[in-house]
Amino acid sequence: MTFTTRKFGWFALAGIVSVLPVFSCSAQPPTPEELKNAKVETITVASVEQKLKEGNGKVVVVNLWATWCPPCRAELPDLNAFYKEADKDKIAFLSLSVDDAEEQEKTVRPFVAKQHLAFPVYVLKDPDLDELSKKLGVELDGAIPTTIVYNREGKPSKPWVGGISKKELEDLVKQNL
Amino acid sequence: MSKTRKMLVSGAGIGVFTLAWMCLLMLGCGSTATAQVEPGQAMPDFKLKDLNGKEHSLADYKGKIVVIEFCSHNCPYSRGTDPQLIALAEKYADKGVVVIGIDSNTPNDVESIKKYAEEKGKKYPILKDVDNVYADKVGATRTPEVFVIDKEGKVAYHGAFDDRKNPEKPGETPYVENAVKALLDGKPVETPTAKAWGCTIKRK
Repeated sequence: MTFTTRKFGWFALAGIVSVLPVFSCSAQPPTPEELKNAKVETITVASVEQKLKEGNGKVVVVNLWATWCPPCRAELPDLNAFYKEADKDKIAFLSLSVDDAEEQEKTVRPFVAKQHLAFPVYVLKDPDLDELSKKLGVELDGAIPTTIVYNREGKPSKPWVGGISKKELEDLVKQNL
Repeated sequence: MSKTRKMLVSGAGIGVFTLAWMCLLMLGCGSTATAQVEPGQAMPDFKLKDLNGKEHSLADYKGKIVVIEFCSHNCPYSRGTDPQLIALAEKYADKGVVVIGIDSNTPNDVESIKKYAEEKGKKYPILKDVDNVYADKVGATRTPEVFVIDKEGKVAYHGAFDDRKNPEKPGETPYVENAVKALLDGKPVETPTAKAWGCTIKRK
């Protein structure tokens, strides 16, 4: 094996290893400690309005997702990184899961625990799309992930449908700060 | 080609494929479809190839009731509807009802769709919508998303397969089957649209 080949081999191995977490994040069950620390709560669609109001005066980021949705799972590391770095005095983050609320202890909590999501996740009971659209003040079509950014006056941006990167979200938030 | 060179080329190939795949997986798509075809409107025609390379067009099925499901074998909500959709296709085949699957997700290649379809025993045509051109044309945004088209080629129903809350548990109201039954009975479709959650179609 030449030096170049060996070097490339290491590069390729590093590449594959870096991809592994994407596939194996749910391979091992979360520890009891991780489950305990996972911030997961079930809320009604009616209370979403109140949750939005709690962010009054701040830019509020709302992310709609579910554990069964591959593009949703893919964007979560970026959202988690965004949240950890966000100035909490200026930015609020509302993560709304549309997973089956009755099964959230079996699905959402272990997932949130394993992903070490820093933000609280609210699982919606009976997430009726029309009702939720009214509460959020936007027209939702059911495609997830969807991200909505509200400016400091509470005016929503056009929903961002599909995965969003940390940079894209930062740019959206900056426009509204 | 020397052994070293072959390894380099194949290694680079794997690297490029992995990166491209990851980009698609991580970025998903921020763009949305624009024009949405609604009940009462004519369903735009398509010319798309099935998994064996045969071209199909909507015009081929003129005079039949056509059920089109935008699907993805990588979306659990879409996979979850497959047993009921397969059953529906078989149940109504001799009544002039045609079921067609359309995969518009850029990362889903023909081979993987074919492998999954064979495993699940899907006998109805599944068409590959390269570069999500048809999804854009009809405004499809998620999987599963269903259009039921009447014998005149107009959309009679658009939306969710049923009202399920869990990917694997069929809902209580089978919107698509109800629409098919109504069309067969010559009655109006009671629920012509129904929204539902689904995975975003990963666009080009």
